[in-house]
Amino acid sequence: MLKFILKNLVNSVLIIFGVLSVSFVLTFLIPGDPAKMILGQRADEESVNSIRVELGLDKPFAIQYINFIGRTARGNLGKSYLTDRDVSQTILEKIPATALLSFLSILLSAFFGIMAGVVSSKKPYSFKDYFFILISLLGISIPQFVLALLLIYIFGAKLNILPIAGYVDNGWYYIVLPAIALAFRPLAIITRITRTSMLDELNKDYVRTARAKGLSESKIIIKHALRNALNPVITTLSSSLAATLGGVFFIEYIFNWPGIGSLAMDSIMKLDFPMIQGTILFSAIVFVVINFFVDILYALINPKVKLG
Amino acid sequence: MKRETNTAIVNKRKSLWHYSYIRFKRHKLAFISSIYLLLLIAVSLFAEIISPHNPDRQILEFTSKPSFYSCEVMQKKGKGAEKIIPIKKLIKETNSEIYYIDFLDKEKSEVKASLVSKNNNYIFKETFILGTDKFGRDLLSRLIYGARISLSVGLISQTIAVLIGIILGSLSGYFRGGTDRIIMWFINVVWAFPSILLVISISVVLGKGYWQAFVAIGLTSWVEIARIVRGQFITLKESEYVESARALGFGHTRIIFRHILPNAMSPVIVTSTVGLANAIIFEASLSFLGLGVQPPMASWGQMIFDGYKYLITGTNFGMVLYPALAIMLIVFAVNLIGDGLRDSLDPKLKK
Repeated sequence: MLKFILKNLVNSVLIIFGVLSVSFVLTFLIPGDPAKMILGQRADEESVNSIRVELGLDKPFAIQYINFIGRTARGNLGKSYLTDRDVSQTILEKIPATALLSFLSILLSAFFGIMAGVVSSKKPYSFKDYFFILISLLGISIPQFVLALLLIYIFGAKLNILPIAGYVDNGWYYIVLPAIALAFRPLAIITRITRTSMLDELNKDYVRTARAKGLSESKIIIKHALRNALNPVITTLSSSLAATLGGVFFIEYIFNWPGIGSLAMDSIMKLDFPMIQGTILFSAIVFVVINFFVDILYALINPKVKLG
Repeated sequence: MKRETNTAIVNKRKSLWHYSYIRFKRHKLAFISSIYLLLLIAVSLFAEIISPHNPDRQILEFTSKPSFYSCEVMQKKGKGAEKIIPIKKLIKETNSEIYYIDFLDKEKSEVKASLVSKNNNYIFKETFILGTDKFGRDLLSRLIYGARISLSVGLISQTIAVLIGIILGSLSGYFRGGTDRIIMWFINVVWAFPSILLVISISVVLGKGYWQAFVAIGLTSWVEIARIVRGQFITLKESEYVESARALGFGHTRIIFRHILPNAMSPVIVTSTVGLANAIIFEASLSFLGLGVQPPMASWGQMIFDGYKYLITGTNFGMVLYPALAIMLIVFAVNLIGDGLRDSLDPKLKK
């Protein structure tokens, strides 16, 4: 077990290192002079050069790369080119907003998705089943930003009952639209997966035994079948969480939600390189850490997973 | 009775693909979806012929007109962009001149010699079936040209993704060992990289534009395919027919491409259809952010972005609705095709 954890840990560190390298190469390749970004396009040659020296931008690629990896490993993510604020500090401040949105939408999608999936699987090919299949297909097909715009149009502009942009410090209901917009796609996926997985389980022998024992249908579903059917659902949920906790890009951007996602989008539009690298690093760390724990959890729960 | 046995004998000669096709046809929604997709491909191939107007032609008098708006217009002779003169009300037509009231309620006249004529008619009727956008461009024509962008982003990015995915996945699954470890590391790195940020930064590196967006999306969506191909190779490598191929002394290249890969293709096809749908969504999202396809070129995401700014005040709701519906329909169709392919290519379900 210890060997398994250690091996996973080394792998995770290597992956983070890879992400850092790729993000460095990408920001290195992005056209545009960071020194000019800081000083403005009309800055004189002398001050541009002095900023370049200060940031180490005058050095060759390899030296810059080693410096970058070195200071990141020490936990120094640098300062924003635009606001001159500490990158790690800024990111830490943005975490609660993203975490709130991400957890709420995952909870919503898990709850309603599993419910819809179970109802669907109870009577396959019934009206209810087709209804949920349609909803889940719709959820997979509609682009997130289109759904967000639709919600803004209906609830914000036409009915005028919910705010279309802003954060919860103005009132709890500010989270309603972004959470729905974000939850719809995972909800659709979870509905589908729960349905297929439940259909598989309900055809198995132990369910027949439970029925023969005279257990009530609801007990069979909740206590027996659902428990076994949840495995793939949890996989999907964890990967959804890993993807959204690292930053909810389009939804945050559209609803002006002050999280990691809108920070990342903003800094990429304004070519704020240290901030871009910081947000990418943060996303990747969240992703790797969640997957690390999920892997260990699986190994603990499921004896079939090889510890090697 | 006799006829049945006959068909059974005939069926024996049919290939595996034929059975897949039969199963696919049974999947009605998937079959209808593929007809829709083919239709859309045809529309985008022949966009020049089909589209009723030039998608980039702006007529500022016709901003945000509703569906089925029509108006009488004249067209000025001359090279370059078409110059259209809308007529609010015709006053009179003489032998050499046309007197009319324009959209600013001013009386004006045009000399007939300076106008384009068809069969001695100088005044035509222009109809905009789906209305116009903010710049007075025909929405239907823009939708038709936008189909081209959406379909090509799907095809090109998935071609890139499938190529990279197959090469890396098969190398990794076939050779295992050090190669596998390095490739798996790379796969995980790209996987852990937030894909939206990766696409955006690649397209910033390559510069704004449509093919840059295609390449950027392709370069990020190969990961899943590579993982699947790798998994398939790991299982198939141990199968008897590969062992016998190796015993016959075939080289690695031949075993990989001729023996294992064809058997590993069906999940790749299914995954890349889903990837195609996601690529279309991705392109629309990128265009919505102003990356990707650049104006005045029509793309569905771009159209939504353009229309959205005027959605709350605007008069033609279709500016946002139609491109949004177009995106949803094609993604819906592609997803259904993916479902159909999954069922029909899965040999476990074969009777």
